[in-house]
Amino acid sequence: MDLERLERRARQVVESDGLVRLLAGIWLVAHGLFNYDHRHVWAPILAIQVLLWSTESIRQRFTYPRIGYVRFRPSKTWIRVTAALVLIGAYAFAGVLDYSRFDWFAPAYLGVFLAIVVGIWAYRSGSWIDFVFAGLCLVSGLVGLRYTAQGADDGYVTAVQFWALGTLPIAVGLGQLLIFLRRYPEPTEGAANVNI
Amino acid sequence: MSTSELQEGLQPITELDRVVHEPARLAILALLYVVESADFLFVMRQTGLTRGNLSSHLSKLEEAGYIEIEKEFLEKKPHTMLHLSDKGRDAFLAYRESMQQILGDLLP
Repeated sequence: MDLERLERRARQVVESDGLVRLLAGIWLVAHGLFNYDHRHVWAPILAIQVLLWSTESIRQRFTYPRIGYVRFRPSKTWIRVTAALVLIGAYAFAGVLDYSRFDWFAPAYLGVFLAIVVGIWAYRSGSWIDFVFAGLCLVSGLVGLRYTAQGADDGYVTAVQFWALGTLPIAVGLGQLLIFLRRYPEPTEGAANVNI
Repeated sequence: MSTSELQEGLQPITELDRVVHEPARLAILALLYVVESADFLFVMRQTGLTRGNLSSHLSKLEEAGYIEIEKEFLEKKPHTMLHLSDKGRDAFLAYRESMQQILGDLLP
C-alpha cells in the first residue's frame, strides 16, 4: 500500500475542482500588469491576498458540499520556509536583473523559474496538463528571449509572457470547474452529517 | 516440522487485528491515515461504501477506539468530522508491518 500515492490521490479529488489552476492563472495575469508597468505593483499583491482568502471560502461553498469535507496536514515548516525564501530570492534576483545590462535575459529567467515551480507542482499532482504547462513556460522563455535579443523591452515581453501563460490555466481551470459541478451535483441537506 | 513449529509459523496470521483486517475498515483507516480529518460524505465517496455500510463500519472502528468522531459547526450547520486516533494510527501501522512480514515470508 503506497500511502504517499494515496494521499496524492486524495488531494487530486479536491483539486479536481480546477480552482487552483483558475486562481493561479488569474494571479499570472495580474502579475503581467505589474511587469507591463511597475506602477501597478498593487495588482499581484492584491491578487495574492484575494486568492489566498478566496480559495478556501469558494471551496467551502462549492467543493466540499459536493465531495465531502477533508483537511490535509499542513506542509512541513521547512518546506514552507524554503519556498518563501526561494520566492524572495527569485524576486530579488529579478529586480537586480531588471536594472542590469542583462535585462534582455529576463524572459528566459521567468520561463525557467515558472517551469521549475510548475514542474514541482506537476510532480505533486501527477497531472499531465501541468507537465505540458511547465513545458510551455520553458518555451515562452525561449520565445521571449528572441524578442528581447532583438531589442524589445523586457518589461513588455515578460508582461505578454505572463498574460499568455495565464490564459491556459484559466481556461483549463474553468473547464475543470464546469465538469466538476456537473459530475458532483450538490447533495441533499445533511448528507454529510449522518448520525454514526 | 512439529505441530508447535507449525503453530509458531502461523501465529502472525492468526494474530492479525481483525478490526483492521476487514477490507472496508482497512480502506477507511488507510484514507483517514493520509488525511488529517474528513467528513462522512468524503469517506463514503472515496471508499465507495454505501451509507449504511460505512456507518456500521465507523461504529465498529469507534468502539475499538481507532477513530474519533467530532461534531462541529460549519457555516452554522452541524457537521461530523472523522479522524484517526493515536490508537488507530498505531493499529494501522502495526497491521501494515505484520502484513508486509507475512507476505514477505510467503513469497518465494
